[in-house]
Parts: sequence; C-alpha cells; structure tokens
Amino acid sequence: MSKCLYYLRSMISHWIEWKEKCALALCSEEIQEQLRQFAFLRFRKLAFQYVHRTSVGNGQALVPDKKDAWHMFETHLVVKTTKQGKRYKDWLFARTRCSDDAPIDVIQGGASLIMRDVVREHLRREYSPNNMVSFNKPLSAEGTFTLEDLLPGDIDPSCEAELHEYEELAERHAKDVFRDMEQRERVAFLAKDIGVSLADKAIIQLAGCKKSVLNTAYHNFMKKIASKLINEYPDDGHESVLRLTMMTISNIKENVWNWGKSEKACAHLFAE
Amino acid sequence: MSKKKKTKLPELKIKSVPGWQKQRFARWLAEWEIDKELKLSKDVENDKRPTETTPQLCEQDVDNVIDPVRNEPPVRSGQIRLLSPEISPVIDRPLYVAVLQESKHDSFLAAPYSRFSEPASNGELLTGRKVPCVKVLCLWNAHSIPSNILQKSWMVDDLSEDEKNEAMTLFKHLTEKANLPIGLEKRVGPPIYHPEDPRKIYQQEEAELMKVVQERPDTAVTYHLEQKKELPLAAESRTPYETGKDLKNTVSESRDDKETENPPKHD
Repeated sequence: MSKCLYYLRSMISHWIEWKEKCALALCSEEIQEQLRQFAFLRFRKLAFQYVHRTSVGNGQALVPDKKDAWHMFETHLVVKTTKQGKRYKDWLFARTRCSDDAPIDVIQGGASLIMRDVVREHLRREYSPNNMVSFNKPLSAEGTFTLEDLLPGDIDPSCEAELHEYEELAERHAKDVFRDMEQRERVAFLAKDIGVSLADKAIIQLAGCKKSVLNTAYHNFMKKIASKLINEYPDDGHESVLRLTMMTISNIKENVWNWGKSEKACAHLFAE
Repeated sequence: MSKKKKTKLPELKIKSVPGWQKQRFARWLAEWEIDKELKLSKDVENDKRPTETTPQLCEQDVDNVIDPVRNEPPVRSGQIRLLSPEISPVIDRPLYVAVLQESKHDSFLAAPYSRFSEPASNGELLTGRKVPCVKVLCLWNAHSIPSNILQKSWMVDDLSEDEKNEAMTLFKHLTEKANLPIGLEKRVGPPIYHPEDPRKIYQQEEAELMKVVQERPDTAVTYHLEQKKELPLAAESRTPYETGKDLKNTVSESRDDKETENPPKHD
C-alpha cells in the first residue's frame, strides 16, 4: 500500500473514532496529534489569507497552536454539551451520502467549511478591522458610499410638508428615468426587486444578455441616476440629494413592478 | 430630468442615527469583509485527489457512525434543528433553523440562523445565545417548510419560551407591522435603505439557501400562493411602495419601520 493510501485510510479511521468517542481527548494520542495537525493546517491556510488586512506583520501571529485550533473547531458548533448539541458531527459524516467523492475527502471538506467559520469568528473577535470601517469614508476602494450613506437618520415628523415635496420630485424624476430605461435595466431592476437571481434562465432570456452584463447594467444604472440628480441639484447637500435619489429609486421600482405585471413575457415571474 | 433647471431642495430635519446602530453596522461590515476574504479561497473544501489514489474505503464504517435523521424526534414548534445535507448538499455550512410555528398544509414556519455574529438588518435578532451558529436568527428569511422536509434534520435543542416569543414578535413586526417592544429594538440590526448596500448581497446569498430548501421537488406541491396569503412567509421585500401584490414565495425583509414613517404617497 502506498504511503498516501495508508495515510488516507488512517485519517478516515481517526475521524470515525473521534465521532464515536465524542471528544478528541478520549481518542488515542496518535489520533489526537493527526486531527490537531489537520485543524492547525486548515486554520493557518485560512488565516494567512487575511493577514494583509490586519496590522499583524507575521501571519503566524494569527494562528493558534494545534491544540487550540482543534478546540475551536470542536466547540464552534456545540449548541449544548449533550450528544444532541453536537449534531454537526452527523452533518459532517452525512455529507458522504450525498457525494460521489471519497468519504475522507467529503468529511475533511466539510471540516474545512466549518473551519472557515471558525477562523472568521476568531478573526472577528481578535483582529476585527473595526478601525477600517470609518463612518464617512467610502466602504470600498471603488465605492462612493460611506457608512453614513447607508444608514441615513429618520426624518423629523415636523418636516411633513418638505417630505411631501421630496415625494413629488421623486415621482417626477422616476417617471422620466423609467421612460428611458433599457429593457435589460428594467429586467435587472425587476429581478432584484422580486428576489430572483440574475442568473435565472427566465431573467437572462428576458434581458437578452448574460448575468454579468445584467449585473453591470444594474449598477451602472444606479450610478447614472445618482449622477443625474447630483447634476440637477448642485447646490444641495449630499444628504438631501441622496435622500431624493433613494426615494426616486423606490418610485422606479414601483414603475418597473407595474411594467413587469403588464408584460406578458414577465407573467411567469408573477405566477401564482 | 431637465439639466438646466436648478431647483433647491427643501431642507429636512434629520434625526441622528443612534450610536449603537452605527457600531453594530460597523461590526457587521467588519465580519462581512473577513468573510469575503476567506471565501476567496474557493478550494477551501477541495481536498480531492485523482480517483485512483483516493480510497473508496470505509464507506460502511462511515455510515455506521451517522445517527440517521429518521430516528430523530418529530418536528415540533419550539425546536432548533440542524438540516441534513440530504436536503441540499450545496448548502455550504451546517444550517440551523428555529421551528417557530406549526402552519397549515402540514408545514412549519422556520427561520434560519445567520452565519454571522451581528444582526445584519432589522429582520435579524440577537438571540442571547453565545454559540455563533445560533446567535442571530434571521426572521426576514423565515419560510413555511413542509414537515416531511423539515424532518430531514437533527433535533439540536429546544427554544426557550422567551426565545420563541421574541422571534414571533419580530416576525409579526416585519410582516404585520406589529410594534416591536423596546427590549427587542436594540437586539436587531439597522434597517436597509440603500439599493447598493452590501447587506443586500448577503441577503441574496442567504435567501438562496432557503430557496434551495423550498425548491426541493417534494416541497413544490405544497407551496402555493394561496397558502402564502394565509400565513405570511417572511417580511416582504418590496419595501417602500406597498402595492398589496403578492410576490413569489421568497420574502425578504424590507418593509420596515422607516418606510412606515415615510408613508408611500399613494397608500
């Protein structure tokens, strides 16, 4: 038997023993060593991917020792300490029934997926990039939105009249914009609004283009509305224009919805 | 839109966003950023070797250690259950759901737990539990799931009466505009307004998971619109301009308080 085959055979028996005995501490030393090594290597691989986003120079600093890596893995999904609370182990093994791949690959693949969540939780707690999320800086390199844009405050109830004016303007702008919308923009809008994936076959057929093109069309359209309104209201504050933009988009959604309902080609999207 | 016409917008008095909401959102975004980064490694699950070197061994041994879901207690409201990969092998994490209420047509209203530790939106509730996989409950993504599907799961724990009541209170708040008690207000995330908000991408991903559960062939028969009218399936997604039209069977959060405060012009 080759060394590799021997290793794989022994690994699967390690996983089985761990499942049967309920905790690694009850397994033999060899098994403890092998499974801890597995956890450590997976943890390290994932954590290293994130090191450039932290102030830690050396990726190794993000990685716990083998024992802790395994402990985090083993306890991450324990809802309670009884067997019932550790059903994730059954999930891990039951995946083998749904796959044609070798059981060892499926089990370790599932363990790696869990480990990804473990590492995310660890990084969140220990190395959370809170300092990277500024309230008034763009959230992404290419983005123009700040956290403040995404979380606008409530409008004071005393501004009812002003709000009504905004609503009228939004309705008017939406009507203009909707009239000039291309088919693919309308389809993208509709799909997003009703929660249908842009990759949906019916949506792609309706739009006459691929998902990626549709997605780009959607985002470009959003940018287009934003810049139109910025140009139209150059003397107004960012917050006021943003508020009007969002209200306009809501109105466009309504127009697109009505359009979708009246289009025969969209009927199946609304099918009961 | 006329480019030449320069109109001055009326000034609006805006209340400032509570600090805790900003902080919570910042923490969620941080978690989202980590998640995105870790997901860049597409081969995280991929240990596959050429078939000739992979031992197709021990299948029987593996089978023997799995507690079959058929031996699990019947689904009841008030349980936390872990969905079996049999429901869908494409779900890439152990998906825990809270069974909230028995509904008609032999179904149960069930809501998934988030993969994150912070509630993303006002449709997600901090449960008070410490374990990450059951820390945040996504009521916006609650669905009515036939019991024969939900039975393909392991019973993990019971919800306390408080947990159940709180979840149903938020669910009713999202679907029926019922008031949210002050105690719960601070246990949900900030509402989503902006169409380009990254939380929309997250919601899309999470909605897809539940869609996979719903779209199993054995669920299709029982899932019809008239059933939806009897039991709201989740907080609806078409936020601001409620037209009263029913729409598909997935529902995502969005008709939130804010929109009630700024009522649609044609209501």
